[in-house]
Amino acid sequence: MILFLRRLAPALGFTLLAACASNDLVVVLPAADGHIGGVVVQHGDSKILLDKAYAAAGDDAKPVTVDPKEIDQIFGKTLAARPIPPKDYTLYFMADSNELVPDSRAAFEDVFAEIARRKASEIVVTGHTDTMGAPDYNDKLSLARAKSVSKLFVDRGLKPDSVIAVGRGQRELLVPTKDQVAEPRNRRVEITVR
Amino acid sequence: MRSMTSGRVIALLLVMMPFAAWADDPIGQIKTETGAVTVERGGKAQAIAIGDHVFQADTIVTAPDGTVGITFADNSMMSLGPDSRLALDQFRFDTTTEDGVFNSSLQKGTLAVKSGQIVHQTPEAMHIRTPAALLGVRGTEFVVRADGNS
Repeated sequence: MILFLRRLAPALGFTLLAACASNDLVVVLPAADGHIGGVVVQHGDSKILLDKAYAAAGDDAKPVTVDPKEIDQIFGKTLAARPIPPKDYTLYFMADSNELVPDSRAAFEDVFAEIARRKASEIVVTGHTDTMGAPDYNDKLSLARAKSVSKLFVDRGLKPDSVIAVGRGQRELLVPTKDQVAEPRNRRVEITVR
Repeated sequence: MRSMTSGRVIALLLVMMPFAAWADDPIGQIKTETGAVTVERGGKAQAIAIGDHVFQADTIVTAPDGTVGITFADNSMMSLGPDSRLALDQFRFDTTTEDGVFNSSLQKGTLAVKSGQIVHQTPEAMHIRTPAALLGVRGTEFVVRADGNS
């Protein structure tokens, strides 16, 4: 049977291809922040970059048009199952202290309200430093501060395994500076509730 | 374990050692769920619930009435529609440098994806395979349907 089909294939080429075609579909959605890096769809030798809202590719990575109503029909339940997006908070500390500045004490309470509205949550506590000192040292320093802030959350009743401490060192400066610059706004801890 | 010879145990430990730092770590957490959802782990299928963790090499399966939403360690998010299968083939993420790799396979069904820090740090370090195509993610929110019969 397979041999028979193979011999017939040149004549029936189009039909056979259609029969083998998958039902693949990829659609880029509008981005909340307006930035779309895109998706490269590769099917054998054909390749297409989808980098605009509602850009779509079907079988064999060929561009197709899809209207929002169709997206809702095909993907409505899938989209309804999306998790609540992570939410970020920034905490600042009094100079040379583990004590939060007054504004950050309110943010600290907001974190708990955000946790309460989620069915299952984790928090990521990420420490950042300024550019004083060596990068390696700042990795350790930022992690140490993240761990001490994590303890504040655990002391308030969060399960230790739902609090993740991360040290990013001086990689993500809030205020860009040259090396070896003391900048209080860069010495911060970011909290992500997810 | 007791029935294993010590040589075999040592061999097993040696094989596992390079991965010990991350292979056992959770890579994500179930955030939403409706209907029946199972995870295939180590050859066994078991029910999985909101709050449970997922691990590298898990396959997440939704029944015809099932949907599930997962947030991963790099803040990327995926949700599966009904009658879908997603294999979490490879996930590595360094929280300090944000370098990582995230490869998965949508074997059938529908998937919504929002990329996270892995892609933000390294565009196209996230790939999703379907039976017919390979998607390289450069950073965006998108939906995919894969036909399991192709």
